[in-house]
Amino acid sequence: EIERSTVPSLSTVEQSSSTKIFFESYYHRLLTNPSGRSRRRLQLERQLETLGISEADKTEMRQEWMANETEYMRLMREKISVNSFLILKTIG
Amino acid sequence: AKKPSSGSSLQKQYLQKEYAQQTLGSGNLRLAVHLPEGEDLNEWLAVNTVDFFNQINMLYGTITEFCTPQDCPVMSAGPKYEYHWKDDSQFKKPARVSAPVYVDHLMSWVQSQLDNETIFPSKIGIEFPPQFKTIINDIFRRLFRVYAHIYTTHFPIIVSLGEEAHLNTSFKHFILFVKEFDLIDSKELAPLSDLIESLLAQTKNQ
Ligand SMILES: [Zn+2]
Repeated sequence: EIERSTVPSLSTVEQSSSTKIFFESYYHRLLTNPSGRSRRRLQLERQLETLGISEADKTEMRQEWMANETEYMRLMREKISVNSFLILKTIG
Repeated sequence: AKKPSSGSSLQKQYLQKEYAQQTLGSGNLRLAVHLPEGEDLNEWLAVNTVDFFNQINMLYGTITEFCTPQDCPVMSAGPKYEYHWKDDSQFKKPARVSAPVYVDHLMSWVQSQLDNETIFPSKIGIEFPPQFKTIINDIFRRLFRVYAHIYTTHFPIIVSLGEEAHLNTSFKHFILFVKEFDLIDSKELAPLSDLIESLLAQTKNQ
């Protein structure tokens, strides 16, 4: 077994700092309750209450909301995917 | 100085309480992995796959200086587990390559899956392929190996960079997600089974 060095270079320390900031804000966002999505859901329900429309219309609006959320997730995925590629290139 | 053998779980640094209990935030990660009500399962698997790929990419990126062909001549997860690279193009037979070369192939392979419009459609309205879940399982099985290598081989660097809470949180999130959607066979998880047990026990007490 070889003895491994554990003294990081300056550029590793810098990269580590930005990585830690990323994780801290990512998990802060993820673990904050309620999540963005459930907050938007509540907002929608409140709006539906004030509109005074039929149950069928409400169902339709909920479905529309759902489709928007799915679309948003797909857009987010592409955005993150592009970012991760840039990071990979920087590392490589 | 002689290093302690890593055979006994008592001597694994990442299992020691002072490290294993370090996580970010106090919220419930278990809730964060649940499929949101009414959401499409594939869409949820896809967005999370990209997230975990990104996280592992960043974590491994901070230790590349220490994961060299000299330091890690073979891709391993502790003394008992060795991984040989195999793919459909260049390496039809499993090849014993160094850890950095292995991880490079692995991450490039995942990136190529993510960039494949027929597997991970980015245009609105295009469906996921029928074999999507199989591909997701393959991706997760391979991504796990990077965590396993980092924990078993590079944990002292993680500690000296102060990243143990970040790594633990990321890995715990990954494992909760894997368990929720049954993405990795339990024997594939064996190299870190003791850590997984310890992280999941913490979540139960929340
Ligand atoms: Zn290594």
